[in-house]
Amino acid sequence: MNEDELRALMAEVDARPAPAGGCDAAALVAAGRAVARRRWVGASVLAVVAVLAVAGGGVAVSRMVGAARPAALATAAPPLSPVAPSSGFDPLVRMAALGWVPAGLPVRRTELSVGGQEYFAEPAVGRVPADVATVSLVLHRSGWQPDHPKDGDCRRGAPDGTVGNAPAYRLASPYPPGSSVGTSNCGAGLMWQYAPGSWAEVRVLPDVVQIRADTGAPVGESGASLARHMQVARRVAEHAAFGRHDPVRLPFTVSGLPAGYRLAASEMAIGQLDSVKVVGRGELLFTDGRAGRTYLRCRVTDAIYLAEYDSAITTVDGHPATFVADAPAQLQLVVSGVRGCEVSVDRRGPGGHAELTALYRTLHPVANPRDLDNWTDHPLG
Amino acid sequence: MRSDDEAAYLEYVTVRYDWLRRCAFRLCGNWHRAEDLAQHVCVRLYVHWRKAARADTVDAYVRRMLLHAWLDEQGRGWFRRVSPVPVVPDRAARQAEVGDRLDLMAALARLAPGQRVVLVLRFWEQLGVAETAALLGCSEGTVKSQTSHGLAALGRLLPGYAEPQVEASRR
Repeated sequence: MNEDELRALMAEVDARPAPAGGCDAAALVAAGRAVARRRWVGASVLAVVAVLAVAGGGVAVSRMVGAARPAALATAAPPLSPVAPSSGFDPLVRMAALGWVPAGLPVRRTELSVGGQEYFAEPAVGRVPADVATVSLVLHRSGWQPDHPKDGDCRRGAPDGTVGNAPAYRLASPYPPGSSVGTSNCGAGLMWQYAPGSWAEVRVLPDVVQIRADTGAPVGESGASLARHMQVARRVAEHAAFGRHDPVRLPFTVSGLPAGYRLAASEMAIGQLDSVKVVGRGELLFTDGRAGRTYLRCRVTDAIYLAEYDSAITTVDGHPATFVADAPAQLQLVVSGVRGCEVSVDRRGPGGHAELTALYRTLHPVANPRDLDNWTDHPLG
Repeated sequence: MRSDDEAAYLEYVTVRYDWLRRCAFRLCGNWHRAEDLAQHVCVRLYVHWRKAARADTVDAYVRRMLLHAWLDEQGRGWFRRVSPVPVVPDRAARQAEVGDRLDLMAALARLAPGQRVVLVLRFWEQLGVAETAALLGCSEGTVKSQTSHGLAALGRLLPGYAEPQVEASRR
């Protein structure tokens, strides 16, 4: 594609009228005033804290801003009930597991955050799925509202039988009827309470998204395809296991993160993911309590992919490496050939090459990570 | 905020809201998120209005706020990231013009944020290489190479326009 072709396509998109919408200036002003007030109050509180810290030798500050060791969430004792914890999930504890899934989905991936957990079964890279592209099981944190979801989550749709004696409901798009948004995500699937107040959801994504010939908008499944995928969803739901407390296993450990970092999420993936030469991946997301985020990732592979990045190749501790600047305040360091891993550190926030290199040195791949038995269930030491 | 500042702010958001919403749509690819982004930026703009009003052009200041808000959203935990059209529609069902519009937004959504933002700024917002680099805080060389890789990636995602290009995929 060349520049003129892209401009022509963009002009076509621009020619399409924008949907109705508009600004409620009074509401924006009210919201702006509220934010300004909170900022003023926050600044005042920080000033008081600073005074207390000076008076108290720093003890007050360290308690209030959580300068404790980063693994605070992970080291909390896991709850023994299958009920989703109201304080949020531990990102290092898997509380459910997929049972039966359709054939042809050998990759297993989990994404665990404080706000929710999602368990995926996916095809290996390069393999075209027979009918279903992805199956996933979602656990929502306690207190999640099925009729008023946030962040584009599917909402509760029509009743559709039961799952384990609990009433089950179809998935419905959270967006207004007729919207083209979200129809693919909230197609075949079910949601139900696997324990009082604890909602789970199974989603079945087909390998092909249908589009309307007249408008080009994606449409939800219908007819035989939907019926078939609803059967898949029900079977996956009935075979899912809850109340588990399995530790996340990762191909690396982390030590010595700067004070203030807290674990926010983890990802564990086993199988041929984004390349046939990658046999697994582990990732941890840390936040600093403000806007800063740091992703520490290890892809288990002997291959070197640095040429794919648009940046100069250098070395870090003798390993080939590259620094990638994707956007302002967004810097990534990728280091290849580190004990069978490609290690990457992705930082959103202030900090340059030196800080990123220091963060890289906190990540230690396990010995021979291609052997999954060597992965650790104590990634934070 | 003083009343005259507030009046100026009100006038600006009333006149420029639709422009802002469309800019947001170009970045995020769906109107619901664009509305959210535009409102988020307007609220922040209220807080920073005096600084924005002192900028060379308020539009440039607001565009920078929008870029940062969108990029920040991209950095949210992957678990809750909304993905309105996660799969490029079936090629076999492709319809000419309407299909291209949808395909373009879906294909843009699959690019790395850095590539996407460069393509949107250069070819949709009609900014030059130097302006884009200044806005993103990177070198002009990076803008050029991101453009090249982004176009190549789009060519792969939209086979009807494909030309042989250098591989530039990322995770």
